[in-house]
Formats: sequence, structure tokens, C-alpha cells
Amino acid sequence: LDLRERPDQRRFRADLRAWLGEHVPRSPLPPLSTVDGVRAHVAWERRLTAAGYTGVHWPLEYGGQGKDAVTSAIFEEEYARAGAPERANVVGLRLVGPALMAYGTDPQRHRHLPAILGCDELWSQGFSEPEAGSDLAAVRTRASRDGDHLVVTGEKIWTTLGVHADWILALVRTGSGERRHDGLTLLLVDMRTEGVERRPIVQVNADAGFAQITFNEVRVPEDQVVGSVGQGWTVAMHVLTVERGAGTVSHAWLEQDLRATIALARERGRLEEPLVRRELALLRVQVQRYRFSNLRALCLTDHGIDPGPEASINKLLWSETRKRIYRLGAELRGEDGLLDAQGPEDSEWQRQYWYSRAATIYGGSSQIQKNIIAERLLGLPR
Amino acid sequence: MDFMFTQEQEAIARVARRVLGDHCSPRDVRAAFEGELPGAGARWDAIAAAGIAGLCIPEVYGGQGLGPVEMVLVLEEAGRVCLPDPLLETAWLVPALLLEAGTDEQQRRWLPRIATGEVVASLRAPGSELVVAMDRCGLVLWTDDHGWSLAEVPSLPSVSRRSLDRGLGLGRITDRELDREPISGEVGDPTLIARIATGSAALLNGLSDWLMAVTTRHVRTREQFGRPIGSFQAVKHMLAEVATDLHAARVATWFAAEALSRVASEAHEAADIARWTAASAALLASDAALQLHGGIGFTWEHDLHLWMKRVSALVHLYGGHEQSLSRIESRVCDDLVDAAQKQEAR
Repeated sequence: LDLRERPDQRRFRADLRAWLGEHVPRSPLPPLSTVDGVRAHVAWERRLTAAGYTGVHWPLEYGGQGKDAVTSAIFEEEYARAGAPERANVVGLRLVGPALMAYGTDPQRHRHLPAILGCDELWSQGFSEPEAGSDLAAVRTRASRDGDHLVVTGEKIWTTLGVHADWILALVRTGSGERRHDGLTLLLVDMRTEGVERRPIVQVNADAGFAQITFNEVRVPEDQVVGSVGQGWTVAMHVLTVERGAGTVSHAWLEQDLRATIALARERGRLEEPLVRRELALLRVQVQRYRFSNLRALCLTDHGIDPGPEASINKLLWSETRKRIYRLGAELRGEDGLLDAQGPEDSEWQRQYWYSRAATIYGGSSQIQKNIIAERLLGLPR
Repeated sequence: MDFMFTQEQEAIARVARRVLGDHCSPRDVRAAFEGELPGAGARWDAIAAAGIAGLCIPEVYGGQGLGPVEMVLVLEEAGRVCLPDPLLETAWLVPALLLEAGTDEQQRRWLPRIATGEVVASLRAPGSELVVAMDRCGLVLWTDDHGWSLAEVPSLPSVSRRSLDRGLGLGRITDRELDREPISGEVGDPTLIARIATGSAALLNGLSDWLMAVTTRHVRTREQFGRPIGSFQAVKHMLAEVATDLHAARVATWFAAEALSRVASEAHEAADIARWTAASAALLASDAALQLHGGIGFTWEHDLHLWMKRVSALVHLYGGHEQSLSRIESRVCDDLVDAAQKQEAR
């Protein structure tokens, strides 16, 4: 047990901090849900790539920086503290890339991995459907074979960045199978293929961040299957473990939110109120305990140990904490929060407040995480 | 950065688990609770023989010379078996105080006797009135207006048999009863408080883990409506919430111990966070255990109440988890804000 940073980690942090201090845009970029926003965010991603700060955790052989999970978390931490822009290609970097490294073919890796690193391909994730949310294995989008193509028909929903993405990683049904998990396949689908339609969905925070994607007899070459036909569930679970796993969400984001909330309490002269003080103290505890727990999972990962259900624990810890920080913020704003946003900072807060309330739904709802903890960690019967 | 235990540390935890498991059964816990002391001597001899009593005492005094990380691993095992003996006080708090502030003579006189198990030690901590193991300690340290003192205790009459957790031997001491011998050196109260918080957290985590294990076993086998009650989501989610809090509490405790072992600047806050999270998790575990056992868990005959009462005692002893949260509160609301204001002024 030694929680001191190694010299190379300290150096990485210092260099990164200096680079971010110099390059992070002074004013916020337009939101990712707009065309201008996508353009600005892609340009920012390319600056990160040029400086060697994309794919920090990706192996060197795939063009990444080959850093361990702890160093990669140092990146996320400094990035959050610097107030740098939202990452545009999270699905590509965190889901598609790792899936191709683990299960993809060489041609797939050659084609997509450099394009993800360079942000030449923006990716979205096509898992959820109108009838398959928490019960992911219930997907109905079908792909049937026609020569050397698979023909896809069905609907995907709640697809983040779906309006602007170039590609989608789609989970589809290819067989009936004894067990319903067996008949699933993962496909790399070019969004410009004929028969792909996208419709923006406006969220409660007025952003059009999601889309509904319709596949109408979309022809996908069979060499775009990830792994093999029928292996989709295995690959998808691998991908989701990565999504939930260590380091996805830095405690530094929560620290930033909490710091802003303390400043808000001070501005509004409410820092002497016992209930406000107590809640701020409890939130500090929540943020720190997530920090410790996440750090533990990162170290397990670096030792080649899968944190397993601990990933679910960490998802619960950060998502519930984020919601609670913003709930206090709303209390502090009180009546003023009812008026339309007063300026860009206020408008960003409103957007984040509502988005914080999605955190316990996406990436596996809190209820699903608790089922996983109860069944896999505690061994309770299904 | 490495948040993993070394093989030696894991071995120490394994040995502690075996020795404590062998010498402290639920029957022994109950006997201590009923005020029977006969088994205590043999148990403490076994604990000392395994090197646990002298864990943090330097080798020159017959100890193992280990630190806070090893200590919290052992204390978690002590919590798991609901050990009635004052391991936190004897093996960590008192030796650390003597090493920091005692004279050479005091160290030479007491540390070897603690390491061999001859003497059980206790203390009255700042902000607290109670002393544990009043019925069996041979050395007690306390602080008052005159600073820190120690006294050899031949026998103390004032143990309250009517305390919530009768196994702990809780009582009050008055200065008049004792022959004071001053401890002249400088005692760092915040560090002592951080050790108390971290050590209590480790004990609480062990208690919570036992409560979780017993309750999980119960809901897997207890059937109602023709199926194990552990298959109902209401039950699953209750236990998943406890497991989440307990995991976070254990990790926070390890973090605090590591910070204490290298006198890191954030050790004091980490200790308070460990104590608050461990106390919250233990209270939740205790509540879930009682709720999910139903009627049988509410009986004197069942062992559950022994562990639940220890949880209550450790939550409130030595100023309690409330004091930890109050300190966190003033750090967050006053210190950080002061720093921000200073920075603005600059």
C-alpha cells in the first residue's frame, strides 16, 4: 500500500497541467448537440491528439500513449480541473477502440483505430431500443444474411451524438438461439449507408443530445462484424465493463461541482446555515469516498485484476453523488433558479443540473447496478 | 501509486484472522458480555503470542515494529469476531503515545510488558469521559488540564456492568483514584484523534462485514412465499446498499491508514472521512441485519445484538462519528473558504 505518485506520474501531471493551462479555450465551446459545437469540439480533439494526449490508456501498438490506468486517471483529473471541453469521441475511445483491440480483425483495427484517435470518425453506441433498456438482451433490431452482407432493420434510441456521428456500434439480433443472449451480434455501421435515418430527441434540458436511429434494410458488409456472429453479448458485456469500470468518471469533476456549490453558498450568504454546512460536509465525504474507491479499482486494473462488481459500486457512488451536489445547488438558487437562465454560466448550470439527473439512468440504472452487486458480489439468488 | 497490500500485509491479516477466530468465538463474546472474565487471560496470551499486541511496538522492545496499515488490517479482523479486549488501545494508541511523548524510562518499563501481553493498556482520550477495559487494564493514560499522565492500575472498582456493551468493560476514572505520573513530551492531539478515528473505522468495518455475511447467509436460506427471501429485489437492494457503503468505508480506512503511515498532510481529514463512512455503513448494516432477520434477530438468544451493541458503542465512543463530521464541516466550510478569500485578496 503506497499511495505516492511515481516520479513519471508526477512528471506526466506537471507537463499536462502546463499544456492545458496554455491551450484550454478561454470561453466555453458551443454545445456538442449543435453543428458548430461538433466542429469546435473535433478541432479541440485534434489539438489533444497532436499534443499526444489522446488514447492515454491505449497500448502503444495501437497508437496510444501506453500509460497505466492510474496515469490515465491523472489525465482525467487534470483535464477536469482545467475546465477543458467535453470529450467528443468518448464512445470511440472508451467503447469501440477497446472492443476492436480485444475482438476486432486486423483490417478493422487498421481502419478505425487511427481514425478514432484522430477524431476523423465520431462514434455513437447503438444498444438501447424502445423495448430493450435495462433488459438489453431483448434487442429486436434484426440482421439477416444476404450473400456477404447483413441486412439490418430496426430501431435504436437514446443514442448520444446520434445526429452527428459518422459510425455506430450496433447490437443486433442474428439468430434465435436456445438462450436469447446467444443470438446477438455487434456490427460497425457507417451512418451514411442507405436506409439509416436519424431523428433528434430533445432532452429535458432542451438539448438535442440524443437521437432515434432507424435502420431500414441497411446493408452492412460481413467484415464489419465485431468478433463473430452470435458473439455480440460477450463483446457487449466486455464493452460495458469498460464503460462502467475504473477511471471513466474522474472524482475531479465532482470536486469541481462541489467547489462551485460552496462558492455559491458563500455568494448567497448561506454558508453559516447549519443545514447547508452539514450537507456540504456530507457531500465532501461522498466525493472523497468515490475518489478512494475509484483509485482502488484503477490499481486493481493495473495489476490485471478485473474490478468486477466493484465497477457497479463505483457507478452508484459517483452518479448518486453528482445528483446530490446539483440538488443542493438548486436549493441554494431557490426562487432565482425559476427564471430563465441569466447569462451563459447560469445556462450551463441549468443544463448540467438536468443532465445530472440522467446519471443514475444511463450506463446501467442504479437499480440494475444494485442487482449486479446483490447477485455477483453477495451471491443472492436471481 | 499502489492501492494493493503486500504479501506480508496479507499474511499478517490471515494470521490475525486465524488466531482471533480460534480464540474468540461468539460463545466467548457472549461470556464477556455476561461479565465473565476467566477466558480473557488465555485469549490475550494467544493474541500476544501471535505478535498482535506488540504489532506497532519497535523490535527493541519486543514488538514487530509495524505501522498503521498492518494495524487496520488486524483491527478489522478484531471487529469481525467482536473481540471484547482493548486491542486498539493496547496495541496502537497507548504505544504510540508512549513512543511520542514518554520518557526512555517509561518506554522501557511499559512497552515490553505490552508486547508480551503481560499488561493490557487503556486511555481516556481528549473529548471523552469513558475508558474501556476498566476491569482488566494495568496501565491507563489520560489527559486533563495538567496535560497527559499515566498511572499503573492495580485494580479499578468502578466498572459499570450496566453499560450498553458490557463486554467492553466501560467505566469512568476520576483523577483522585490514581497515582499520577506525568508524561512530559509533546502529544499531538490531532494525530491521536486521527489514529482513534482510523482504528475505530477498521473495527467497525469488521463488525459490518460479519453482519453482512450472517445476513446474506440468512436471506439465501430463509424461505417465504416458496422462495428464498434473498431473491426479492427489496431485500437485494437493501443489502447492495450496505455492500456499497461498506466497500467505500474499507477503502477509505485503508487510505487513511496509508496517509497516517507517512504523515501525509491529508491524513487527518482522511481519518475523519474513514470514521464517518465506517460508522454510517455499520449503522446501515446493523439496521439491515435486524430488519432482514425478522423476529429471531430481535431475541437475546441470537448473537446479532452483541455485534449491534458493539457497533453502537464504537460509533459513539471517543467523541463519536459526529465529531469527525463536524471537523470535516469546518474544513470544508471555513478553511477552504478562508483560503479562497485569501487568494482573491492577493
